[in-house]
Amino acid sequence: MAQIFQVIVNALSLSLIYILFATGLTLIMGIFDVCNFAYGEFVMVGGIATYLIVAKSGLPYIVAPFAAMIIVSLIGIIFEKGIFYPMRNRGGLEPALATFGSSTIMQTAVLILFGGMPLGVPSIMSGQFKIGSAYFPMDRLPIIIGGFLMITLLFLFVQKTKLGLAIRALQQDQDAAALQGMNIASIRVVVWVVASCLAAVAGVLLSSISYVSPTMGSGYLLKGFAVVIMGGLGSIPGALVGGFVLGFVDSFGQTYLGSYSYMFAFAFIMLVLIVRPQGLMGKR
Amino acid sequence: MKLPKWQTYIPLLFIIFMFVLPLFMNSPRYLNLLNQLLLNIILAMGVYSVWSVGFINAAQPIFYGLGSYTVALLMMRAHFPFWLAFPMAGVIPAVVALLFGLIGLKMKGAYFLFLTIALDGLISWLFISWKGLFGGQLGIFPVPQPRIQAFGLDINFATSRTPYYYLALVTAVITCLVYFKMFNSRLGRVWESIGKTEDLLANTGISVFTQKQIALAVSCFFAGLAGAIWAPYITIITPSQFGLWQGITIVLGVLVGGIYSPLGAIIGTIFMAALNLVFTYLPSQTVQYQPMALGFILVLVLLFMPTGILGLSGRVQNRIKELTGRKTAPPSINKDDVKAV
Amino acid sequence: MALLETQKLTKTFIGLKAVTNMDLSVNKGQILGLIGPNGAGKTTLFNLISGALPPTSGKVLYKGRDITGFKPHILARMGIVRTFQLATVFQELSVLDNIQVALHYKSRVGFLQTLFETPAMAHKENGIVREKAMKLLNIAGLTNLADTRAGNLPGGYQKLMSVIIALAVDPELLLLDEPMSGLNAEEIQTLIRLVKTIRDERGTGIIMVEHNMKVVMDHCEYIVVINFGQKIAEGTPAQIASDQRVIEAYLGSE
Repeated sequence: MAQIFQVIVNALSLSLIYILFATGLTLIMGIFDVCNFAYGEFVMVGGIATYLIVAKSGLPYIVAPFAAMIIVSLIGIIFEKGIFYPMRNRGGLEPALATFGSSTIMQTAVLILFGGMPLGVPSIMSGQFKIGSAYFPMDRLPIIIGGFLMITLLFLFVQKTKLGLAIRALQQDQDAAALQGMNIASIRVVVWVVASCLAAVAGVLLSSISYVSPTMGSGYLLKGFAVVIMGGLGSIPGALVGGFVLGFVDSFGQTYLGSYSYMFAFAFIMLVLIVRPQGLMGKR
Repeated sequence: MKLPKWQTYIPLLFIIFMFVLPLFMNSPRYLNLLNQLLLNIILAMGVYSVWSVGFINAAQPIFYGLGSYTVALLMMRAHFPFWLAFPMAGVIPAVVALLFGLIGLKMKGAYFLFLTIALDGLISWLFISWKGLFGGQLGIFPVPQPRIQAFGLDINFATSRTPYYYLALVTAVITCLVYFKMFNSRLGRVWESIGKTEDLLANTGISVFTQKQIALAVSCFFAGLAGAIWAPYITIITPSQFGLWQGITIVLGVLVGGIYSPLGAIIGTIFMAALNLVFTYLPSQTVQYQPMALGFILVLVLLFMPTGILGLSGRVQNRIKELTGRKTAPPSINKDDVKAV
Repeated sequence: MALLETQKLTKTFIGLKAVTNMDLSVNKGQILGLIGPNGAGKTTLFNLISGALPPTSGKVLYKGRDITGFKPHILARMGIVRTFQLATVFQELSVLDNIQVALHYKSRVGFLQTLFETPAMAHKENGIVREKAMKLLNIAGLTNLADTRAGNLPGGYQKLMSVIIALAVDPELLLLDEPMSGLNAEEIQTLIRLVKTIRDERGTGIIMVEHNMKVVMDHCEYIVVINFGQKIAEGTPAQIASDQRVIEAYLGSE
């Protein structure tokens, strides 16, 4: 019983990180119809920023998310202006390859600047909190709070603001949106900033429970893609559902199946795709 | 694409050149490089053909690896002779590809790319974790060497690297012949139209999905054969030889060469091999910069040279034609060309 | 027996009925006109018949056989071929190659056959296919443009070509989605002659969605009018022209 509680707490925090990450990814993939293979590196940069601010400079933790969001957003804008916008009429494959190239450039750059050793960032909170016979690890608390906060903010933004409406319109149909007099170029930038902020926060939250390393992005990228494909391309509710499903499948798999969890997660995704090729929440 | 007469002999001359090359250049180092180049060309041709039907397979080395493991295991565990294990090493990756295609080829191109990366992770994980069969991180060794004893010949692959070179060369030539023939046929027109006008193709009675399956399975068949040459050649096969990075290098080669012609795949692969050779002469501290260099090449080629080296030569040709005044005007349409029925 | 019959064909998109209880029937050699205002569900109906979309309920019968939910390429092999609203041709290929690709299935060339056919066999086979393709181009009067890149043709010719591509598949039932839109008067005459020639030669049944009322009234033997996904009237051109509901719903609105 105590173990199950533990696993659920872990699964919940893992799910929230997956969701943050996958929502950003699904936004980009839904609107630009391109896989961003460098999105994992956005998370990594978020982690590196946290390392620089908290572990190196000793600044308070609260600075980290804001600094990370600014840095990663700048990178996102470079991607939009340097790759996605110039290549917007070239289909999905070629820009996707370009992001793959960019991902290796970013990985190598970080490797050269910071070395290949995993960098540790002290946790915001430590210790354990006792509930009945079970323990609640305190370092998961900021993740759960931060994750829920970000997701709520995102939903408010997409559902309630004019800009959010514009983004949803753009997702439906780029041409129709242009006809309604929207400034597509600037909305595209907004999408990048939103997606970058999500990745940055995911990186900040992650750094308090795991090490930061140049190659950490690729693992999360695969999970993120899995969530996006499972939930349905471009669907934010899909990313939410998919993130919870994968987070729980992953945590329980790792606890009870050990190294076979990879196989299990992969088989699970394949199964979802066989039954529903458009994803759990995707439209046909 | 109709080539002028003299150009049709270039490939033939090139093949003859490759056949006599070991007579002049038999240093093991260069033979080794050439051997790898030939195997990479086989993989690149496959990647190109699958690309032409709208998909990028970044997991090509995994199918190559499946071929390697198949040939090694069949020879070591089941005591198959090499010449029986060799075709099997093509069939098994092709079957895996067909199964994978059932799901993957129904998705859009970019998601297929992701699924190949996931597949790469899955099969690498199998190679590492299923120690009983694949030998884990340490891999399998020693893979037995083939030996031909027929027609009074006795070619022992164990004593020289040269027979491997010829085996790789023959396989590569056959692969290229198959693909060139394919892309110059009417079926080639069909393949080139896939990914652009699928609804229209379906409407003419062509099962687009079946054609995609064929393209993927054939490419993986040849990749498996290449792997079957690699395994006894290198004698020890480990999971790390078949990583994602190798796959990306092959894709990069195809892209750099020019994705609008199968010839581009060959040129690009040669370019990448040359680049690798240059890297080996650089000081060893620069090793860590190499992925970055490849990343920059990838991005820059995509942004500024989307037609690759071949496209560049086309542009150069046009420029020469412009300068010499032999510009070929685009076919103009004349109202009188259309007779009323 | 009708060539094609739909029985209570219905397609519902999320919260929206695009086609409701549609009963339709076409005979061999008949030209059926399908008219209705924009968004009336004509294209959806085409997608249902040609297999591009699965219906929510109802049946499609072809020569008495239930073909509901068959994939487009299977239907094309059975003889049901459609054209698209926008001129759809293989842009990168030459005009001749366009037709040759369309003849591909009929010539039954698979991967292995391509691989193992000798140059002489390929030459002979290519000759046969080429001849067939040229014949079709000849009927349409496009012989002189055979080597032009299809994407370079003006819109009207591309439209004409998309019909020839469909004809190359040898349809028994031809579905034409707004074939006349974007054509000038001369091109319209060419296309009508082409379609009628094929119909008279092979007894092809034709369903045509068309906004050009003159073409519909002059050349269709039977007309079905739909609005909001439902059939509101049907009959001969003369009957339709005098039908009050049609005039209100459709003709009157223009």
